[in-house]
Amino acid sequence: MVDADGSFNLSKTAVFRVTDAASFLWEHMDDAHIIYDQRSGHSQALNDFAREIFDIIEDKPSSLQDILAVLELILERTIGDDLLEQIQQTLEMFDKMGLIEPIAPCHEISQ
Amino acid sequence: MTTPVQTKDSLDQKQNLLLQILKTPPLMTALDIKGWNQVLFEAHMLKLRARLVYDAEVNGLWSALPDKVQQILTNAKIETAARQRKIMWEMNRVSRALNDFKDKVILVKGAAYLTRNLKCAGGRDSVDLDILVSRKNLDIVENHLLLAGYVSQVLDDYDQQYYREWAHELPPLVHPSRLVEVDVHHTILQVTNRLSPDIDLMINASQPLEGHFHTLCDEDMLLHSIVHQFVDGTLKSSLRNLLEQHDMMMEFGVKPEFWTKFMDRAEALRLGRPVFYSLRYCAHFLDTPIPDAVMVRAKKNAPGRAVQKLMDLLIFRTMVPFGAANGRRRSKLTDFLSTNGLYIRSHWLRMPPMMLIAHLSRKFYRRFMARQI
Amino acid sequence: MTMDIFKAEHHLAGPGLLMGVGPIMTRIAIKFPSIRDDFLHMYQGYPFFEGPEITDYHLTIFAKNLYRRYLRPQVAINTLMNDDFVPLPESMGLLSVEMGMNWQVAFGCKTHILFHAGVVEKNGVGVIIPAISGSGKSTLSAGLSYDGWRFFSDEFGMLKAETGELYPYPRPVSLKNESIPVMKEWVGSDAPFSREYEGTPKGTICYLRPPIACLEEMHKPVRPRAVIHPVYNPNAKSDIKPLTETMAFFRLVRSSANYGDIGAPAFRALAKIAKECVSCEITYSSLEEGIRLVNKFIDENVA
Repeated sequence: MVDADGSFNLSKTAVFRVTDAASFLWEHMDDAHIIYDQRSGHSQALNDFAREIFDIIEDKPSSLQDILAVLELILERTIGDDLLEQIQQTLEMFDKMGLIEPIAPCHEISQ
Repeated sequence: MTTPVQTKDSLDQKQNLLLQILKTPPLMTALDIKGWNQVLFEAHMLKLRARLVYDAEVNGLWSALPDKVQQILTNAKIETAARQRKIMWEMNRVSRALNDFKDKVILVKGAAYLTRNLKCAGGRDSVDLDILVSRKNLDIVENHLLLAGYVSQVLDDYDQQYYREWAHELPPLVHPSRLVEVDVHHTILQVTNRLSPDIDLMINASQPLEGHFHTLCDEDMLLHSIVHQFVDGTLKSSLRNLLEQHDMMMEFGVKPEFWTKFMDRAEALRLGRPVFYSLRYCAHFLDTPIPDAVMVRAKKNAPGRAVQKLMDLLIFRTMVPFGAANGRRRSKLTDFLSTNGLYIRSHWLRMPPMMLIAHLSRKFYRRFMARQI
Repeated sequence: MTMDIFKAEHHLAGPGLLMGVGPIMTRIAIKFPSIRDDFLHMYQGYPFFEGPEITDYHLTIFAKNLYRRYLRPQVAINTLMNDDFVPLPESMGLLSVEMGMNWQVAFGCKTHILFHAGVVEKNGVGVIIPAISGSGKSTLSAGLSYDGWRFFSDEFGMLKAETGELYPYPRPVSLKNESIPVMKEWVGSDAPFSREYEGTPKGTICYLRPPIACLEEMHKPVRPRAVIHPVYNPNAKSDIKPLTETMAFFRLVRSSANYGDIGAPAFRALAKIAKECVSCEITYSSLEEGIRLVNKFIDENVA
């Protein structure tokens, strides 16, 4: 589903994968992780939280629910609605930047 | 700086240096400073500097080039690589936008050459992303792209109508955050043109790539390049385009059956005339090794002698002015040449002489051209 | 490498004069005698070459026709690089040359990462001073260069990604409006200045030749050790604000026009600067104060 403003409104069951890990360069700064995508030339600063989310998806393709489950394990608490919204926004940003993509239901996960 | 090579394969100072270098890259090592300045200047105006880098690297000549030449050519190498990355990324974004679109989306021109890793992609300056879809899918594809944030560059209703009915593409689409032009075609010639080929044949023969896209088959890819240059009533002639065709002929020509399939296709789509021109000029300017049987077959579609000689003359003139007739660029060059006392008439680049018309009055020439174009 | 001025004039008026500044070799042809005079005065001491030299750029300053040459003198600029210049009146002289050369470097140079920044050096310490036009970076760079610092550039900082070193490109400094009398007072002499060009789109412009010593060392690079973002505000209290590595990184990216074209090597090079150099933003209300803050920041933060 896509919003009128052009952003992708992802259903909560969409499964995301990291598109092309080999193209990404990382630099660890004093207060952020910077990811550079060689394909697009974009750089983005990620705080620890966003980095964690990215790592989860890179580890294996995950849906929003999958990510929540892992985060709750790591943080040792349940995740409230406002945090949930932040996670969803982070996913949208990653998607917009091309760092991750939804695996469409009728596509096989190709190698 | 190396001394000029004294073999039979040395530079002919009476002929165009750049052309010689393109045909025989190892001759680069024979260039002196003046020669390099000349070659770099022409290559800049003809957008062939990155091609020189590619040729030098492929032939193991790069480290033998003077430092300054490496510096200048590196600028072109980086700039062209950046453009290629932009096209590839735009493809990525288009693919994302067409995530759930199932029909064929065919890459054409630069993007196709890049993804297929063809020789003609080497050092090629591609700026726009061109894709081809069936006419019936035009609206769906456009909707997907608009939903993904692309904006049509033509907003006037009349112009939109023109594009859809008479041109062979949608008005260009651009995503504001990337500013790369995406051209969605549904055929490769203007619909009104009497030589309009049957595009479905080409779409059906297209080859799949990994991921979302297809490319045209070899024969159609070469035909597409030729059609762009030699038809449409105008001559969008440039050394770059000819080189592209030459590269494809060299690369595809070694595959069995290619020439037969190519000529069959050309004739089936009634494109024999432009193919004749392409073969003729590739052979003449770039020494492309075209099998005799193919030239004989192609000549069957040659024009009458008068037209042929006029085309020769036109090619001769338009091959020089550095790309498609672009008034602004040409006058910048003319300005430069005339203010630096270098103005010579169109033959100044000393292209290999073609058989020119012995005598042709200017009036006849102008009248004839008015009819052609 | 000095060339007899008559010979230089002759080349400039004819097929073009070869001039090398930093890594760039340009052939310049100027068809207006008054502009040739301005040029030769400003570029006194710069390396001119007899040739032949392999040339990066060709710049032609000319009149399109006799009318434009003699009756309504109007200067056309040809960079051979898709430029788009509006013709200037002959009275604006040197502007056409400077604008033309800037265009060529800005669009043509990819071998070095370009920063819209001043760069100076002292005791092996390279300082990058990035800022948008009109922020005072040109004045600050010029002021520093007439206060013991070696001048690399006021407009085009050049960094080689492979070595991480800054390279000089010491073209004349372009000063505007109020900064002109300030700099004339600071330098203490009119000699290295061009005449003042009034009525330009940006007001009055005047060019300042950098000290001769820095021209002589125009091929000597330096490692960057500090990045200082200047904010000139005549009403503000002086301030030095340190930047985090992340802020420093993104500010550098923003100030580089060819970062995107160069790609991954530029990313690594800028990240390295962000992590290994000290970065700050200084707010200052006068040239003297700005120079004082720069010296203070360097003394306190760079070993």
